[in-house]
Amino acid sequence: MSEIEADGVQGNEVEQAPLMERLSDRLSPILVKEVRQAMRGKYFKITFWITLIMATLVGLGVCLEGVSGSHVDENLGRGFFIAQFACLIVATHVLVPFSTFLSMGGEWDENTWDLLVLSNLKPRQIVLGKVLSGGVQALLYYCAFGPFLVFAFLLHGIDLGVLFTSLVVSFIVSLLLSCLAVAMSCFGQGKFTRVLLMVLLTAALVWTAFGTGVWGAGMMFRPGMLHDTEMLEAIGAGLTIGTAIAAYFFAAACSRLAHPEENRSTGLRAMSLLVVLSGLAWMSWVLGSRGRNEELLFGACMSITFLFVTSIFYSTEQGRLGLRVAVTLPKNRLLGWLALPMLPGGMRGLIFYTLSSLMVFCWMILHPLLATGSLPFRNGQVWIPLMMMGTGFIYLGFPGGLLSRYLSENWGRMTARIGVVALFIASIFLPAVLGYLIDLRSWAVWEHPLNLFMNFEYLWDNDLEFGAGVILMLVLLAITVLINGPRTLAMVKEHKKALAHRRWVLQQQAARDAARQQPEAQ
Amino acid sequence: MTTALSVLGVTKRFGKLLAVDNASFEIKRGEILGFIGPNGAGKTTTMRICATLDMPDSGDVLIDGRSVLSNPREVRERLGFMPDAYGAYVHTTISEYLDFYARAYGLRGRSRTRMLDYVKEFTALRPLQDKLITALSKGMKQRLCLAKTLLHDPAIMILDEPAAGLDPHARIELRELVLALAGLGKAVMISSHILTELSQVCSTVAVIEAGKICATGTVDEVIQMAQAKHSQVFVRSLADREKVHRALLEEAGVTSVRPHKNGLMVDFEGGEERLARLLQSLVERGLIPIEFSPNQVDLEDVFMSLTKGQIQ
Repeated sequence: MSEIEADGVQGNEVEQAPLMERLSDRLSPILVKEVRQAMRGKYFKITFWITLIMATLVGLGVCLEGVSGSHVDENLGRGFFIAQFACLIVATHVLVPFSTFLSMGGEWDENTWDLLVLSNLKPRQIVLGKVLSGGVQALLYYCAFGPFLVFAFLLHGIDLGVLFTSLVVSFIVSLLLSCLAVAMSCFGQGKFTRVLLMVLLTAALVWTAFGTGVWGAGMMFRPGMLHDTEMLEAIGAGLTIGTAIAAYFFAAACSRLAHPEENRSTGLRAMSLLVVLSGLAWMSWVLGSRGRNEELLFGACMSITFLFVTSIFYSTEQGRLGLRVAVTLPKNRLLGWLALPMLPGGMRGLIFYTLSSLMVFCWMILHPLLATGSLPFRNGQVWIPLMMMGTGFIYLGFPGGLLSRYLSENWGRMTARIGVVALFIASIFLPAVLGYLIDLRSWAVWEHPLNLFMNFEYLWDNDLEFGAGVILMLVLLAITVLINGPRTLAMVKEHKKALAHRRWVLQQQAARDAARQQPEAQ
Repeated sequence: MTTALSVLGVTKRFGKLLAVDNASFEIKRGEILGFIGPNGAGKTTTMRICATLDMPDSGDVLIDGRSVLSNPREVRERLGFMPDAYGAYVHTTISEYLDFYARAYGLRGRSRTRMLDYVKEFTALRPLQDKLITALSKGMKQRLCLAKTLLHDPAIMILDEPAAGLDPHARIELRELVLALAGLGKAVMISSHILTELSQVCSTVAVIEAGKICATGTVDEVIQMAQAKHSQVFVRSLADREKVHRALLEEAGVTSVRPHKNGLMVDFEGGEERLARLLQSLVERGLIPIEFSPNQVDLEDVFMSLTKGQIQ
């Protein structure tokens, strides 16, 4: 036993400590560190004081504008609030998320990342700590703006409900933006990528800040909107979509921070599934006992589109399971096989896309059946999601299957991903160009079997005909399945091996534990 | 002594470059292993694999019986790694830095306070605890990193070039710290280019070149191994130098002979037995030497003898 252990300073022993110390133990270490660093750093100090000075000057300007002699403009309170809200939004929607972006990037720039990994903090803890530190900084801004906002309220003309809603919504948006910023920072460590990401992030932050500012000002001038059900639904929907996007980015950041040989995909796939399920649950709730074909088709098509977009990444992952993934497989053999679509790997990604899209299709059929006892779809409408799913399968499966041998390389994955998008665009444009060249009028005006949107339009008004379009799709599907045959076989073989390895590791562990317990028993 | 760290046939490639080639060695508790090799030999890669930061293409590393492949989290709880290049957070004092890592390692309440006190005392950082890290000297930063590495009381310490860039005074202090760590029963793996420093602290050595482990064992064993490969003997005889020169060249194991001071320096391949036979042969030929002194071999000679300075 080492001297340190002998001293009784072992890690997990929690002794009675002062209340504040015990409370601080509950906080994320990253949060504590980040807040300490931010408070000492120049960035926060300078931006904080500049924002406050600007808010004061702008507030003074608004007051001077609104007061002439003894006459006080009745909208002075609103004007003052909007001016302060604008300054607050710039700080919490642009400056704070940007600081979290820099802070995450700093871990690589300042060469502290390895030490952070060795400290055994999970990627989730690191990302959450950074996001929460953004939240704390935003809260400091809200506190600092408190006196200005109280002053605005005292100037009259301000609806307290609107004021409260604007502040709460803007705070939530600020947190979501911090999440986005941290995630974007994890996506690239090269200089060029970082600059590009910085530009993209700045654009997104400014755009969102502008949107929130305009929304807040609109609400202030029409406070009645707050009692409008549609407005409340819109706020709810906006925040839900925002939270879903931020949660997805959060999962993406965690996956980027994980070791390349660890499981970087299951979390993301689970998040995709969660986003789709929440969306479908929300739609089921909104639709209630209604079962209108447009709404159901909209829900199904949007969900499949989301699954398609995210599966561009999953279906082009390298086929091999990471060295640290096999040992995390479920102990039960059946569960091990059921978990297959959620595990990393390109072919597993394609299976994930297919199964989750089928689930969406089932929802579209089952919801109206359970709610009204009948299907509201006319003509070939019911086939639209299936056709969409099939086309998505072809787009995802073609490049991934053809390049499966090269997906372990960065360039291979990138080529396959670009290939999916290129195939999508080419399948719509190339036949049209060909039609123009060979003077095939219907093709030249986009009416060709590879144009997904034309097919949807056709199915909306007509029954599905087992014509050239359907046959072409079935042939392409068969080719895609064939192309992906070798990687499917490799996947099955590897999965079997991984499950066997998992069992072997468990046996080894049990033997080790038994060997360790024997001397103890003696 | 129980084995703390076992490197089992580790191979690592970076593209076409074979960085580590089937490396195997082990360290026992309380032992200090010097990991030596020229630049680009694969030392840092091996150490990073042991620290779970990189993955081997084949083979495994067991830390206290836990595999770096399958149990990286358990391994990290038992391992302290001090990389050759690491950064420190700006606007952070020594106290805050250590406090952050103590929290990250899961230390809570008074346990954290006591552990922080202990490592500050052990590394003599207490007087500087309120200083900003950016204001510290290189030696002090090394101490800080060592303190950070000790926070979770790891059983195995891996120190990659800890003495690089330190002045002689700081090097001596570091040496004492490393010896104290081994005294606490920790297994220490240390890489350095300052071989004289290493020879004073290491009980065992592993020599790596071009990704391959050339030799491993206790310092004496490795020196003997190196001597078996190549050694030098100074010979001085009262007989004619030319005659002695020719006689020496005729002997088995002698690779070259050159005049040195008032005698001859003989480059020799073979062990002590062969060396004894060389002396016997000179005596039998009547060229009795009045001085026959094999050079004392140290780690530096071992390093030069076993490696060719191959950079990958």
